[in-house]
Amino acid sequence: MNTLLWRDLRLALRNPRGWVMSVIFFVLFLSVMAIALGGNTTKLRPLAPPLIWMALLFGQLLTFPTIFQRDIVDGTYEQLHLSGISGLSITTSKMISCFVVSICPLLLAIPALGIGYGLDKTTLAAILLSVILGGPAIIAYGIFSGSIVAKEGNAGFLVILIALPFLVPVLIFALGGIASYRENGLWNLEFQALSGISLIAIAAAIPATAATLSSYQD
Amino acid sequence: MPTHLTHQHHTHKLTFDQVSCIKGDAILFDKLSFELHSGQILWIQGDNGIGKTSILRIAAGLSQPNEGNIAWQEEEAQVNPRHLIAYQGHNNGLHHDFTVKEEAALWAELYDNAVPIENYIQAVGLQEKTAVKTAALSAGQKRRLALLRLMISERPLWIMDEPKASMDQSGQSLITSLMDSHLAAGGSILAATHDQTTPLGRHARRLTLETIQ
Repeated sequence: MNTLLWRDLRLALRNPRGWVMSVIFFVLFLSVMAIALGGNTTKLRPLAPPLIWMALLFGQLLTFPTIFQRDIVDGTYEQLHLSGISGLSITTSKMISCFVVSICPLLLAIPALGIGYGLDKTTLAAILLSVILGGPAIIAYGIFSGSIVAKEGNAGFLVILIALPFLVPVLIFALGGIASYRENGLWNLEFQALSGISLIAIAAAIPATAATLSSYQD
Repeated sequence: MPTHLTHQHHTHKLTFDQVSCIKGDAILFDKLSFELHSGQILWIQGDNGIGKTSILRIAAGLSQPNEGNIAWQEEEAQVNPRHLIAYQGHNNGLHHDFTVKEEAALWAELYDNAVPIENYIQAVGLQEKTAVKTAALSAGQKRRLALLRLMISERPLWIMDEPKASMDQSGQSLITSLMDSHLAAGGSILAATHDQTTPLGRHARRLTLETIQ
């Protein structure tokens, strides 16, 4: 498992087209939005959580089609399978590596962007927490939709159709949790629901993704 | 292959029993039966698109046949194909962004092979290329790296699709010597080529596929 995770991380870092694009998209989208909305922090402050979450979701959707493409096309998935590694391990390792390369950079970018949007510490903390709690669900649905389109060349649109309906509840509870963080504290009902969604998404996506990948062998 | 890299294999057997494969409307092969034992090589020969790769993929457990049974046995017991098979496909299955050394190290770790990888890299003649990314290798060098994985896997049954494709003279004799020592160590080989003239191995049994009229 460690060997596999180290492999996935190295591959992701050396072939950064997918996740770097999503990070750049995230930063540019929020910067352009700030300019478009007039750059006035009193106006920007209440809009920051929904804008950050929109940038996050759209940026991540860009990375999904590439997640398994290389492994399937160059035949390394097949060789990993033959070496006796289970599809569950391959999928789990991919999920962890995707979280590290595509969610973690955003956790660094959000505080910097927060300054531009005039966010106070509490709101910033709530936004970071919402990304940490909701991130696993995004990645889980991402690897699942990525596995479905791994053999397609230009599947960006298909991925959006598959993943977006699953991502809407994540978005709703994340923004709800940020809104009620100030009154109801860290462990509010929305954040509990968001954590639940993430756990269910992981539990469902790992076997579903493994099954999709193994179906490519016929 | 240097003797210290040869792994002694248990007796094993691959059995095709009345296996049929249909792709679309075309029957690729119908009721194909054969057995492959330790120390044997079976050479499947035929034109492009006639079903050689399908046989190999079914034998590797990577595809399901439309009809018939395949059995993989080691010491008389049924085993999972993944315990027996090392597969060198048409596709080399290499990571573009890894160097030769990283690629070799990855498979050595996954196959739990403790022999220093330098020995294997030397054996396939890539010792000058250890720091080169696999994407930058020539077609023949990529085939050599895929051969290296066959050796590292220490699996008894090698399934090879066009093993001599894009190999130079020294590469071809490398394959011949690797195959010979694999067979001598009790391994077996199922290989497919479209080339009718060059026999694959001295004692190969030959299975020729022809179009059904």
